[in-house]
Formats: sequence, C-alpha cells, structure tokens
Amino acid sequence: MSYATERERLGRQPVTVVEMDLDFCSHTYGVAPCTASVGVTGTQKCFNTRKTCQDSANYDPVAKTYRFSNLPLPLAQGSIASLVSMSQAPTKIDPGNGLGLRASVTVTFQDHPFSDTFGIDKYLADRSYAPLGQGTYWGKLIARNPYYQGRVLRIRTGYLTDTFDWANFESRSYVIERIEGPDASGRVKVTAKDVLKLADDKRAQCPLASTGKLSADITDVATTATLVPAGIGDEEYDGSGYLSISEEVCAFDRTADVLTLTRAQFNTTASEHKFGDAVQLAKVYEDERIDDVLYELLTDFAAVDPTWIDFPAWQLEVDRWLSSYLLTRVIVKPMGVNKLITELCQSCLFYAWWEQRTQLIEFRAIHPVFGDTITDIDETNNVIEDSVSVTEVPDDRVSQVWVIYNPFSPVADDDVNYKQTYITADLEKEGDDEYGESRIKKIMVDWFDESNVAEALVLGARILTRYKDNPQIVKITMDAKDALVWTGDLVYLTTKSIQNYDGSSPTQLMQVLEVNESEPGSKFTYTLTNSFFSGRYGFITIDAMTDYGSTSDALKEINGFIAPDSGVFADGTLAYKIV
Amino acid sequence: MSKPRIGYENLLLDTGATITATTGTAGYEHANAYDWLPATSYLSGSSGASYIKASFGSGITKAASYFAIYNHTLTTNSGTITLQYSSDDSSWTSVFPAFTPTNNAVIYKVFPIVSARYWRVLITSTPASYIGEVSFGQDFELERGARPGFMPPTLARDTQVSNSVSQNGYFLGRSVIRSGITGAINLDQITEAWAREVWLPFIIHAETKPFFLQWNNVEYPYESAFVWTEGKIESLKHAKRNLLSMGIKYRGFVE
Repeated sequence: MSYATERERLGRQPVTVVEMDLDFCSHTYGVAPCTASVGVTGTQKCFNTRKTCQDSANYDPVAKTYRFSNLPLPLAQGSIASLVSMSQAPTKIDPGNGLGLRASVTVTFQDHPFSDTFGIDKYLADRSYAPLGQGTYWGKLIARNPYYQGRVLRIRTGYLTDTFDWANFESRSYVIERIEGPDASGRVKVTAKDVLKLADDKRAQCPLASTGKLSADITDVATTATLVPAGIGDEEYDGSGYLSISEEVCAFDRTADVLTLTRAQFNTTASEHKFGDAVQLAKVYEDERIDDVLYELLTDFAAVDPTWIDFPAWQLEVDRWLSSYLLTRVIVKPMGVNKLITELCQSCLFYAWWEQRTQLIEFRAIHPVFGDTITDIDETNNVIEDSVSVTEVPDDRVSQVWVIYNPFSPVADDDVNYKQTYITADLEKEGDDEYGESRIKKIMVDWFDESNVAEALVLGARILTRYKDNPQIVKITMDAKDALVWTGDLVYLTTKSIQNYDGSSPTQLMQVLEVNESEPGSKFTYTLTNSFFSGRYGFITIDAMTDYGSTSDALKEINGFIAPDSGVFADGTLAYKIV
Repeated sequence: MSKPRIGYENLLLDTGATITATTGTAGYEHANAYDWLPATSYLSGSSGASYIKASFGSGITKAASYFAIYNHTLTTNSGTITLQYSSDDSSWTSVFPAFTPTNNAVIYKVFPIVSARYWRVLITSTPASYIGEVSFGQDFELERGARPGFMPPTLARDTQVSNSVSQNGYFLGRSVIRSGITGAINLDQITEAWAREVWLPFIIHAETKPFFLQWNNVEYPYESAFVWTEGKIESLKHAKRNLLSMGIKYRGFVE
C-alpha cells in the first residue's frame, strides 16, 4: 500500500491528521539534574514545559508530538479526533515575478475535557485533582505552552485502511504562527505558515544591522577610524571587507576596534564623517552563481535550516540553465531577504518555493520543456464537472520590456543610477489593429553589471514572449487519482472552454501555479497558466547525429534538428524553436 | 423478540470502588479504559495477562448483568478478554469464558445478574492490546419493545460519500468521508414508575456521556453499538392513561 495506490482506490477513506511538535522537557521533576521540589520551588510538579518549569537552568526541551485527526485513528496512534476543519492557502508560484505566495494553513479544533493522558502530564498520578473534570484540553495546552510560535506543525493527509499504515499518507510541514481560542463555542484555531516565512523582510535582513559607530570625526582622506563602543569590532565586524558610512562605501581591514580604510569604493564619493555616524558592514557579491547567492541569503540571513534545501539539485539546475548568470551586487544597508530574493527571481528567470510535500525549498529555472513529465488532462478522464473557469489577466500584458541594469552607485536607488538599458518591444502588438496601446514593464536589475548583456537580452525577450498577449488563468478540479500533478508541473490541458478559430479544443501546455486540496484526500483544485514556452526545443546535437527521420523519439525529445522551409518535418511534427 | 437493552452503569466508575490494575504504559493508563472516551486507551506495560480490578469495601457487593467493550486491538493480537468476580480477591470466577473478538464490532454480553465484592476485567494478550472502552454493571431493558420506525444499529448506517464525476460524465472516483450509524430510541406508553426509576438515571448519564446499546439480545446478540445522544433530549410527555412518551436521537459506531 502507498499514498499513490490508495488515492486511486474506489471507496478510499480520506483522513486528515494534524501534528504539532511542542517543547517538552526531557528530565523528570526532582530527579537530577532537575532540582525542582514541591513545596520549595513550586506548589505542584511542573508539566515539563518552559512556562511551568521550576528549574529553568536545567530545562532541556525536546519535541513532543501532539496528534489530532478528523476521524478516529487506531488506538496505538494516540490521536484525538477533535479536528473539525482544515483550510489551506497553498503555495502559489509566480514564475518570473518573485517568490509568489507563501502557503498557510488554518486548522480548527473542538475543545473538550481531557484526562491529560498520552503522556501530556508526566505526573498524572501525583495530581491532587481529576484532570478530566478540570479545564479543557486546549485551555490547558495553551496555558502550559505559550511559546508555540515557530514550532513545527505537520498536516498529514492520507487514507485509512484495514491495517493502518503511515505509508498511505503525505506530510506537509509548516511553522506555527498563532493559536486562537477556545472561543465561546469551544473552537480553537491554529494558523501556520510555510518555512519561507522565515525570509520575510521583518524577520530577515541582509546584511545584518551593524551597531558600531565612529569614535570621532574623520576627514574625507582619513584612512583610519575607530569603532565604539569598545569591543564591538570583534563582536560584529569581519577582519576585512566593505562597509558604508553615510553615502560612502569603503574597503577595510580591522584590528580590534581600529579600521584601516580604503575610501570611496564602488563609485561612491569620499566625504567627511562625524563622531557617532553609523558604520554598517556591507554585503558584496562579485560574480557569484545564483544558487550560491540564494543559498546564502536563506541559510545565513533567514535562519532557514539547510536540510530544507537540496543544494546539489539546485546546482544541477543552474549548471544546465543558468550557469552564465554571474551576479554582482553591493548591499550597503540591511535589506529584507524576501525583497532580495524577489529581485533575483525577477532578474534571473528562476523561481523558488516551499514544496510542502517534499519539505524542501524547490528551485527551478524558467526553461523550455526538457525531460519533464507532462501529464495529459482532459474533460473526460480528469476534469471534474462544472469546475473549469478561464480568465484573462490583461493587466499583466506587456508590449515593451525595459531591462535597466548595471547600477552606477550602490547607495542610490533611482532610475538614473543605472548605466545600461536594454529595451525589447513588440510594436505590432501596440498597433491600432491589435491592442492599441503600449504597456511598458521596467525591470531594475541591481544584480547585473556590464558583463551581463546577454542575460539582460534574454530576460527582456522571455518576459515579452510570455506576456505579449493577455495571460490566461485556468482553474480546474480533479479527483485524488490525478493528484500526482503538483505545483510547478507542466500539463497538456484540453478543455472546451478554450477553443481554436474552428471551435476545436487545442491542447495547451500549461504550468501549475497552485494546488489546493479542496476536499482533503478526495478533490484537488488547480490553478494553471500558459507556460513560458510553447513549441518544441532541443539542444544543439553532435555532428554524428542521424537525420531526423532515422532518429529515435527519445533522441528527438532532447536534440534539435533543422526543419524544411515548410516549418514541419516530413512526418508532420513541428520544427524546433531557438531560444 | 427481546427488548432493546442499554448499558451505561460502569462499576469501574463507581464512587465506592477502589481501582487497581496491571501497571500500564505511560500515556495509556488504565483509567483511559473507562473514561467513556474511546480515543484514549489502556495498554498494559507487559504482554501476557493484565487486569483492571474494582474492589468494594467489606460487606459491600455490587451487581452486574452486562459487559461491553468497544475499540480494542484484541482481534489483531489474538488476545482474550473476560469478566471475573470474586468474594475474596483470590478465587475468581469468570462470568463467561474468555474469548477473542473476531472483529472490531462492539461487544455487549448479557448474563444473569451476579453480585460480588471484587470484579475484574482480565486480558491476556501477547503483544499487549489496547483497550479503548470497557464497561460492566447492571444494564436495563426498555419497558416496551422496539417501536415502529426503530432501526437496528447495524442497519442504520449513516455514510457520507463524495463522488467525482468528470465534465463529460465519467465516474472518476469516490471517497468515504464519514461512516457510522444514526438512529433513535422512541418510547411510548411507558409508566411513570419506570420512567422515574430506570429512565431518568440513564438520561442524566446520557446527557454527558456515551452508552452501549443492544437492540435484540436473543436473535441478534452481536448487533450492538457504542452511541451518544444527538440534538436536544426531549422531555417525557404525558400521552394516554397517564403513560408517557418521548424519544432520543443517537449517533455512534457498531464497529
């Protein structure tokens, strides 16, 4: 049995399980090293949580899992069937435009009396009261565990079978944001977000804010300066690197609190600075790969656990599609990590998102179909009745893309601070016979220098190709049997809601932006949009490659061939495109 | 046809009882087996024989006429269970032979009323089995038989499903969202004496806790249910000749 086989079974029995990992002290009350003692440190034994701890010096938290479900699970699972509902706002990717929307989930529970079993109260036998008759499950849990923020919450959706098996479940991880309730009707709501929440601008900044200041005025030619307060140099500053003072960037070497400065770096101007001026470490990237920059931003500045990143997979993706992107950027003041990553996504034709199922931060380049598994979806075998909707997004259409790049100075951020602009335009689309207006999209790229001409050109061309006509958003619902299709995947969709001139339904290559488990374990609602690439692409082949007609289908998938002037091969298949 | 029976008294919850048990696993204490919450359970700490025992004071005996169990892993583990009584806490008599449940159906056994100072539920299982809910004591039967419209619990399935049908009309799949039973016990022409002596104590229990139901102990002894009341519990109303009528709706499980 497995999730994949169970979800296709007629009469499958979906079940949703919620698990919360809260802190629980590994020690036993009053047993060394715990020095707590009833009558001395408290009036009753603790509940092994930080809030109730009576010997905080020896508090040793480990994760204790609290399990809930919407249906009764076998007794050995220790689950409480108090889950009333689950509402998901899934990850929504936004290729070419940034990080998209973070996933969140809200689970609602019905509160109830509880006997504090399942090891929730390790000293149940020592209590002077009957827990079943005093308070409620959630009331007590919240009182004992007020420090729940940032702890892990897992949603496990799957199927009950005669023999219970976790292999029949899929798991998605979030971090707890807040717990509300119990309200007047005994309902409790727990809200959790995906782990990229850790990169939110208000939580994560790059570079980290520096707190050192100048100990005295310095002239515009001074090459030494001293930091205050005393000792701050070793606490916060590297041995060498770059820093900013007001509008000037300097290179520095440091010994204790004394800085040796090389003034006016990166086209900034040397000027006088005053006692008490802030000395901020700068973050400098020079010819760095995208994967390296993104990894560092997430793990060093956003506290993202490296185990949530399959870095070799990122490297492979960059090697294949984005190896020419070598990024340069001087960040002189703390900036939100989310903002920086969004800029990277917009500039470098990739997207990243938290994939709850794999529990990894996925990284994908915007590239033509290459080795992707593409699922066929149609209205006979897949799309559930009355679920199709097609809308156009005219506001997203563009007729010109201005890629403005290579900033002159890292301390200015206006339009005129850039040395180069590359404009890609489709003037036909602006003509009166077509849309009759120009739509200009300006992309300010702080990560490109003068060596990134080719990348600027490609960026403009790809964005224009994708958005020169009104993008379509298609929503469909499919049965769980088709739930292999997931966020970021490509599909071939055939629906009567999209038609050719002659009324036939074209098969369109579309990308899944969002998947919402609208009926957990039963139905999934998909949001799709047109793929960046339509048509056929292949790599330049080796000299010895056989002619198209003599080549295997597998090789035709990968390699490009020159087609006749007609634009189709002899077997009727389409010619390849060049990107 | 016999009359429906209801078991709600549990000697393990008697205020005069001292409860002892084979030490359970942390988090699966013996009290979980009689807290009327089937999600919590008792798991003896070691495999083999284990028990949950109710002892009453010297000269005090308590009577039992039924034994019921719901939600356990005895079937999976080929474990056995029985109810025993004793007058000296040494020599024990089984009310019925130890048995292994053949499936997960609710079990409700009726036996001639017995009074004793000591009662225990004896479980023999390797590996140790989980016991969700067990109850024994004196049950009662309804004053009248099942009324027209009564649905035997086993046949009162209340299953909610979700079908998937494609845009072009093909059947794509089905999920069982929830299963269980729903039903009603309707009383008609019951006497004031029975209502006060038997029904009222039960309904006070049912206002807060589940109970066991067996609808026909003679013809369908294996068709029992673990149920709780749903909706408003109606008050008894006078009908003809100073006789009373009322009904309660219930929801629950038969397996």
